[in-house]
Parts: sequence; structure tokens; C-alpha cells
Amino acid sequence: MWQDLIADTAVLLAFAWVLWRLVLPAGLRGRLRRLAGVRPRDAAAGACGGCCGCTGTGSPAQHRRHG
Amino acid sequence: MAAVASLADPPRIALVGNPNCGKTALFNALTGARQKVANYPGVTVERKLGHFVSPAGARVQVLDLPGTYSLRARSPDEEVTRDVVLGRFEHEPMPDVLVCVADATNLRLHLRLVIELKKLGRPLILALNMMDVAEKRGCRIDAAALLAALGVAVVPTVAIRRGGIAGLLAQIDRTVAVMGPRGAAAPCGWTEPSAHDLRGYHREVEAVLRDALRDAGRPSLATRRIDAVLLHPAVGLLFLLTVLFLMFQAVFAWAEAPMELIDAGLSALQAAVAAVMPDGALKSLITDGIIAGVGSVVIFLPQILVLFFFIQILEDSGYMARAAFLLDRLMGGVGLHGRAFIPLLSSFACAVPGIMAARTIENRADRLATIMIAPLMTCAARLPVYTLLIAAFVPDGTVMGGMIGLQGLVMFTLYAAGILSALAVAFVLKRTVFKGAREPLLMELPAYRLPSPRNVLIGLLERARIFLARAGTIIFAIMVLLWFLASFPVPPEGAAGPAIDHSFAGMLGHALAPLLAPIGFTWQIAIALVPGIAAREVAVAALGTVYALSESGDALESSLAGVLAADWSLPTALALLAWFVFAPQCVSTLSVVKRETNSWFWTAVMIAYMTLLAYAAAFVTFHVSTALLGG
Repeated sequence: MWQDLIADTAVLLAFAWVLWRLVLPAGLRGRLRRLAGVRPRDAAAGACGGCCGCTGTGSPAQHRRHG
Repeated sequence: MAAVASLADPPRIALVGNPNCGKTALFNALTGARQKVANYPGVTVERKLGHFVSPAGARVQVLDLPGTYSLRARSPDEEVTRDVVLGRFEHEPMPDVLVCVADATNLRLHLRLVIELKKLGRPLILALNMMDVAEKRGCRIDAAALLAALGVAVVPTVAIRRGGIAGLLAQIDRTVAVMGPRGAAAPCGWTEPSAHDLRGYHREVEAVLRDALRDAGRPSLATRRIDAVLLHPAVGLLFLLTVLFLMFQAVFAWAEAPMELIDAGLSALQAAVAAVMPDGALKSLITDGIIAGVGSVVIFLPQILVLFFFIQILEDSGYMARAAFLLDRLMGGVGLHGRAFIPLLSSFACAVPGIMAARTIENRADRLATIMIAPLMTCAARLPVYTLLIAAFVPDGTVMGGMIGLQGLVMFTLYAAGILSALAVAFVLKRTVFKGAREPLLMELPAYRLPSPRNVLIGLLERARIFLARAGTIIFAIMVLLWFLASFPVPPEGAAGPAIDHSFAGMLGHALAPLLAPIGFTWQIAIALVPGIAAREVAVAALGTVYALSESGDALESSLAGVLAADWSLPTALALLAWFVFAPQCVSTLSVVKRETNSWFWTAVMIAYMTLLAYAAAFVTFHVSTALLGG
């Protein structure tokens, strides 16, 4: 039973992730983020699937401290 | 209407300069970012934002901009630079300080942009980059005289080795301290310089050089001698083909041991989980869905790293720009713009940056033609598919007296098939829908450089991170879903055959099978192709999961390649390879095509022509190989 519960949760989470990241168009995602009060991602990152190391899921914003 | 900076915002500096002068290397040195740098022009095609805290404690925003020779922008990437510098972007305040990065080995060319930027009347710093190369060439620049002649602060740097960064930071602090109130820089009344203005800039540059350039130096004798060989129309091309050929041999030979190690590790993990957990849905999800699916892709990491090790060495050394020069005649023969080489080259990693790199092409028809063929280049995501099928169906033998590995030869052929088909499609497009005169390639050949081990290592780590991040996100999530679709509904009491036959995925596979039967694909392949639309290598993971749920006992213990070799005919495997040379199976690529062309029409055209080509190629391959080899 506990195995079913965890597997079902994993499937639901995976479904939500795929729906959000792969199925919904970037424009709609941005609109939903704005509705939720979250700042939309950079437009340049909109179309990228994170495969190329560009802005999609590329390096996180860096903050180097000098001196 | 441009945005105005508020006093609370940190000061913004923008890195501006000609292509391939080291702006991104400087950006990385300042911010600690790891944006891609390479020794050829056109790598950065959009603005990148980073931050750093200066030695004086000021938080500073840095913008890395695409290279441009002038603010007279002619291509989309140059327009980005012009619009950021002039504060024309609606949601982005104008930069407070411009840092113009100039290649010290070619000041005559680079100073023209400095003069143009100086006329904007904004705080300006000149970063004289690549000073190490300039000194090696015997080039002597009097920085004090340059400062006096230009009237802007001059800081010598070697960005790739972080040389001169302290001096640049100190100058940024000084400039920020004395600049006027934030947001006070009104949009200047910039007008596009006329030909007369440009001649004037050129005269100013000559006057500055008379004062500041003591010795222009010259390219080293070694560079000229190497170029005499590597740029020779026949010898150079032969060298290029040899390099590429050796690269694909190494992809198989060098990666074999670490791949076996990963395979053994994954098998041990699968066995351990199976031994520890009681039978149930979660155990099946972990062993059949996650380990069999995600693991069947992760195993290809060593090959990806070997391939990108070579690409990184070729890029950093300056050879890639020579390869562009060598292949220009071939590209021109099919009507492609000379600048199409860099987008096509970038597409070997992934079509997404390749398509974006087409922004460097001024003419829209030429840009569209390049975008339409970029996905035909063999991207890294195809590598797991090719390797799996080659390992399963091509014997691990040698030809030509043991000199050439057969598997590497087949891989080389598949890459060549991608390139040749792209050229053939370009030939057709340029003679039908994208007619127009061919524009020549004008490209500065960068100096040869010994690749920096640090840069190569960072590039490989970044590539590994990207690959594993994909395995841990897109592939993982899709495999969890596929496991569900391939496991439910459970078969009715007394049903015969594997349970997957009765599942949603099995039903979908059997429904699609008649459509794919003429090209020799099985229902398992039909299942794998559907999630493969998200990313090509997902098809491999899907096959891993589908076969893990279909088989039992000994079949589970053998590798996926072994299972496929036993289950498929050789014509089916060859047809699938042919399919993957052409198939438009990547949703990221299609969405970036939509964004870059601003048109659903061209996106639909790409899907249609690539699907048709894929089906036709698989059909011909399947039937010809069946006739020649038997089913």
C-alpha cells in the first residue's frame, strides 16, 4: 500500500512538471507566473529546453565578490 | 520608451566590442559566470546579465553584449547591442558605464568602435584585451599615450587568464564614484553614422595610432606557416576530415572503459534495489522506470564528454574559424551565406544555440535558410541513440588492416549524412523559396592559442552538468510517466503475453504500429518515439523502460543493446538510424524556431519537411537493406 502511495505521488508530480515545463507554452507560463505574483523568467530563457547551457536552465546567476 | 534606472538599482556596466575580442571571457572573470567562450566570432548572440561586488564594496550589474563592429547594426545580434547601449529597450535602463573591450593585436579595427562610443558622451573605459598575444607578436602600445589621445581610461587585460581584472575593477570603482546621478543619462541624440562620418572615424583612429602604437607587430611566423598548410584547399580539407574522423574513433575507443563501469554500477544498483525492496509499484517504478530508463541514457556520458573534449580543443585553439574558411567554398556552392558556418557548427552541440546564432546573418532569407537546416546537424542528443544502435548492431571489429574501428566509421558516416543532407536541403531552398545572391564570408581569423586546460575542464564540467541535469529532470519525469503508462491498467485475469501489451503505452504503440510498419518499426519503437519528441535521447530511455517492463529473467540482466540486438532485425535498426538523422524530434528546437522566425508557418514547414524526409529515408533504408541483407 505504501509503495502505491509513493509511486502515485511521484507520477502526479512528474505529470505536473511535464505539463508545466514541456506542454504549456512559454507565454502562458509567464502569464500564470505574473498572476501568481512571481516575476516571469527572462524572455531569452523562454524557449530553451536547457539542452545547450544557455539561459534556460544554464548556470545560475553569479555574484562574484572581489577584493 | 526606455526604462529609467532608479537610485536604488546597482550601477550597470555594459561590455561592448568587436566580435571575438574577449567580452564573454571578461564577463566570466568579473562575475564568476561560466558563459561559453570560444576562439571564433559570433558565440554571444543575446545579452547576458551578471553581478559582482567591487573591491570598494559596490554591487555592480554587468551586461555582456553580442559583438559588433559599429553601432550601425546590420544583423539582429548587432541590433541588440545597439539598442542596449542606446537605452532603447523598454524594460531595461541604459547602462551607466560602457566598457569597450578591444583586441590589442588589432587596434586599427577595434578603435573605430571606441571612437563611435566616445561620441555618445557617456562614461567609457577601454579594456585593452589580449595583451599577452599582442606582446608575443611584438606589438607595443603606449597606454598612457592612448589615454591622452582618446581621453578615456585605458586598462590592459588578459581576460582569459583573469589578467588585469584588478586594474579594471579599480577603474570601474573610480568611474562609478565620479559619474553623475543614476538615471541622469538622457537618451542621446544618436544618429546612424554616414559613410562620411565613418571615414572621419577612420582618420581619428589613424591619428590615435600615430601617437600610441609604437610597433604594430605581426602574426608569428609559426601562425603563418601553420595557416599555409591548414588553409590549403586540398591539404587543409584532408586535415579537417582526418581530425573529424579521429574524433569519432576516439568517441568509441576512449569511452568504452568508463561506460562499462557505469553500466556495471547501474546493474549493481538495480540488483540491490530489487533485493532490498518487497515487490510492489514503487520497486517497479525504481527498477524498471527510473534505473532502466534514466540509466540507459546516463551511460552515454563518457562518449558525450570525449566528443566535447575534442570540440572544445578545436574551438579554443582557433582551428574552428579556419574550418569555416575551408568549408566556405562548399557552403557557397549550395548558396549558403558564409556566416552560416558558425550556427551550423553550434548545432553539433544543440540546435537551440545554433538557431540563435543565425542572428549574426543580416539577410532574412539567408537567416531562414540556415535556421531550416540547423536541426539536421547531429546534435549531442542524437549521440545516445546512434551509440546504442551501433553498439547493438555493428560488430566491434576493424577494417583496413585493423587501422579503423568499424563502429567509429559508422558514427562518422552518420555525422556526414547529417551534414550532406543539410547541404542538399540548403541547395533546394536557395534555388526555390530563398533565392538571392550569395554573400561572401568575411571573418577575422583568430590567433592560434594553446587551449587553456581550465577552460576545457570548465567546458566539460558544464557539458556534464547539462547532460545530467536533463537526465535528472526531463528524462526522469518522462520516465516516471512512461512507467505509469506502460504499467497500467494491469492485465485482466488470465491474460496472455507481457503486461505492457494491455497498458496505455502498449495500446498506443499497437495503434501507431501500422503507420510505422512500412518503415520496419516495431510497436516498442512507436512507444519510444512519442516521448522522444521532448528530447531525442528520451527515446533511448523509453526503450530501456519498455523492454524492462516487457522482459523478465535473463533478458533483464543483459544490456539494452543486447536486448535490441536479439529483438530487432538489422534493417529495422538501420531504418531507425536513418529516421533519427532527419526527424524533428525536439520540442525545444521547434519552439526556438518559432521565436527566432516569429512565425508558426516556418515552424510547421520545418516539422513537415523533416518528418517527410525522416519517413522517406527510413522507408528506403529499410527496404533496400531488407533486399540486400534479408529481414
